[in-house]
Amino acid sequence: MNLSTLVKTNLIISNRESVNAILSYFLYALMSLFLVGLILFPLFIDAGADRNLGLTLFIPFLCLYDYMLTQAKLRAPSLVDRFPFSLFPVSRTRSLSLRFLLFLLDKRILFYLLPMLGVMIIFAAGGHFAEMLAALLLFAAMYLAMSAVFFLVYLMFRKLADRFGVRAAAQISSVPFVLVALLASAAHDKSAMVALIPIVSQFTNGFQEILASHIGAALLEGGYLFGVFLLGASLLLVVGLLVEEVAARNWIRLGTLTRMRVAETSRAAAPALVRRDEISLTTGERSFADDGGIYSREPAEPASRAGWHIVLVDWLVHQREEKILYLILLYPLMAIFGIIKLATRLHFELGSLILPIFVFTQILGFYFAENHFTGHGLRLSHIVLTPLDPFRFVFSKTLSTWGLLSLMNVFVCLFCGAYLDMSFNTLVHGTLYSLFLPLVLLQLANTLSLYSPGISRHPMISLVVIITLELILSAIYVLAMWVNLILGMFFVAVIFYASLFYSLPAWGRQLSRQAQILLEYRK
Amino acid sequence: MKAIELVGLKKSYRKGAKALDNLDMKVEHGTIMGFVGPNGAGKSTTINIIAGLVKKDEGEVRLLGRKIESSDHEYKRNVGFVLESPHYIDKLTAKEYLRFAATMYGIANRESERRIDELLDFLDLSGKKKERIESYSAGMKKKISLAAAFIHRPQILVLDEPLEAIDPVSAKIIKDNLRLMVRRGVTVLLSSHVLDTVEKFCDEIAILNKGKIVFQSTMEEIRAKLKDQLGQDTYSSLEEIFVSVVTEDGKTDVEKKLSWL
Repeated sequence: MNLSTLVKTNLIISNRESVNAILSYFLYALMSLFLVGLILFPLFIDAGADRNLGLTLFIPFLCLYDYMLTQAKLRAPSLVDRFPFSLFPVSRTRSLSLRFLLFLLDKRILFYLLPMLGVMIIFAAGGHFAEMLAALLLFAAMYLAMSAVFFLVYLMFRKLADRFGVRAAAQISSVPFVLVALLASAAHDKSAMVALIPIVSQFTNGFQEILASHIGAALLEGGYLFGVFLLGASLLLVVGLLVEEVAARNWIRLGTLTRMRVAETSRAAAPALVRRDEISLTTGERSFADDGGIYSREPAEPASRAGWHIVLVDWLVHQREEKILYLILLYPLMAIFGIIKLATRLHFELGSLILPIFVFTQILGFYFAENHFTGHGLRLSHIVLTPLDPFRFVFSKTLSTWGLLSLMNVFVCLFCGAYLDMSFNTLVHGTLYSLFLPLVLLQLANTLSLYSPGISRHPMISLVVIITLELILSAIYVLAMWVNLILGMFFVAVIFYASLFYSLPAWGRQLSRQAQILLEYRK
Repeated sequence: MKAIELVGLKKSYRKGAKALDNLDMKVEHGTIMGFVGPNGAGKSTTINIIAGLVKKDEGEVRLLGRKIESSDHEYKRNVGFVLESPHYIDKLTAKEYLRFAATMYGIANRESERRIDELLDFLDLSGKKKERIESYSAGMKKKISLAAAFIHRPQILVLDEPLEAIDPVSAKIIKDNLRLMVRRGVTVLLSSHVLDTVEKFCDEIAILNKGKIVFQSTMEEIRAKLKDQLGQDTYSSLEEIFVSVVTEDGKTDVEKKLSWL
């Protein structure tokens, strides 16, 4: 096999496929910078020479950068896909290694590494070669570690999606992440970690002092983050398995108890039940209406059936999974923040790093729920086709709802902040956390739509309800934040959990209905 | 030794739908086997199993006397495929894609260039060889799939609707050349819904219905058998035979009409 021909072909495809993507990418970059700048620039002016604040402000930029990459479809070239190789006499292992090689040889991978390269350049320019090396090592280590964690999450998600359907799986999956984020918030003062740093430094002082202390501390910080996410993945597995077990039992019970009743249910009534539940308040679209019900929501070939190594590599390089692949790069970025923080002795809030986790896990959830397996809904992956499409995306329902609510929060934060004469840093944190609040509201709205399907039929009513709740929540949140930031977070978390708690019975009913429909379908 | 031998093939998809139900089929060397059946009969599933794209639940696939396991890939050196779902990369030009295909089959550069030029000329694509496949018409795209299936001089061709959307002139050229290849020992399994083509072009016909081969024989034998079974004297076309075989008790429901028209 002529490898140079393959590499050349890969480059040709990569170049041709990236033309639209790069354009979209820059448009996203410009728009994101504009939006974030619009919100934060006045604050930044007032901040003066507060370096700490500069780093804090940098976080949303990185989040948006990651999101831009995802939305700009900067994905692996088609040749990296499994399909083109499948008809040729190439073994599966060889095909996988070839595809992985081609994936690595795609020059666009630089885009994913750009934040890391940026940090390395900054360190190198300042003569901090030890930190530069640490950034590189940590990036690689975190990438691998997070790949493993997210691979587990991914498998679990697929399993849940197979069993419950995508929407329920997305919502179930979000629970452990919220738990993890809360744990991380609880460990906000990091007293244990701070106590550990001198021990590690002492241990490593036998080597070059500066190098060792920086790398040691950076690894500690990275280890802390990794531990948090590992815990999250474990929780996800445990919760997922428990839920699955409970549902499996209910399923059997339901099968025996309702079989007679199900037989009476008319087939015509079934899609109506599905439709009522599947109208999304987030997008206002019907997720499964096009295919007539829940029957085709499941992926054709579940990943869990193939060998784990095949699934792993396939998952890493397969273009349809690119969004998860890019998502995991967010976490190495957070590790880099750990390095910066410790290397520069700055004291910005680690809790700020939790924000992107909230945001992106929720986006992941919404994305999966609305688009991924169902192929219906917003279809983000189909949007970036022309230079105008990014604008269309910005004005799409999901993003505009989120954006509108976030902007409202910012104004509420600013207003309350000015009125209460809050410290500037607290105000900024409030503004950043306010990006998270709409997600809480959207969760509430979803819960509401489960209980009152009528609301989801009237987008204006739902919008008014959301906005009212949003205003009240923001005001209470800022007041709580004024007293104590953790208390504010706790308050929001309580609401979030309350909404989850109250939506669980509705999910149960939804699952029961799906089971009924499925039983009838199988007959 | 048969060129293609399918023994007891079974395949069920999720939700319990049986795609193949104990399918048995044999294709002689150097013949063209027409593979027909109604939509959802299992034709594409069978072809995808032969191509190694879908895993069978049970049964055996034997090609050129050799049992094919799911991990096998070497047999693809002797088989050319045109599948229902296109396998080309549409960002490439025809020449670039065929070069990629030739590389995958391990054909030396000089030889592959010669074959590519000849194939493009043969399929009337020379004038478009610098244009990307994405800009091609459906028929031209089908030609690219055919070219990729021919490029490594396979002994077996498995073709799913190979002439779909291809213009009559090109279709005739392709059919003539397929016939020539068959005379030289190549075996063709051709799936199509165009019964007229199958009837005139194939040596044997296998009719698949509900995952089973309901008839497999030469045209003459099928006619004779149906004449005995159904008591009809003549069959004017394969269409009649097909309709008789795939509908219950030979009673057709093709007369049904839309009430509002």
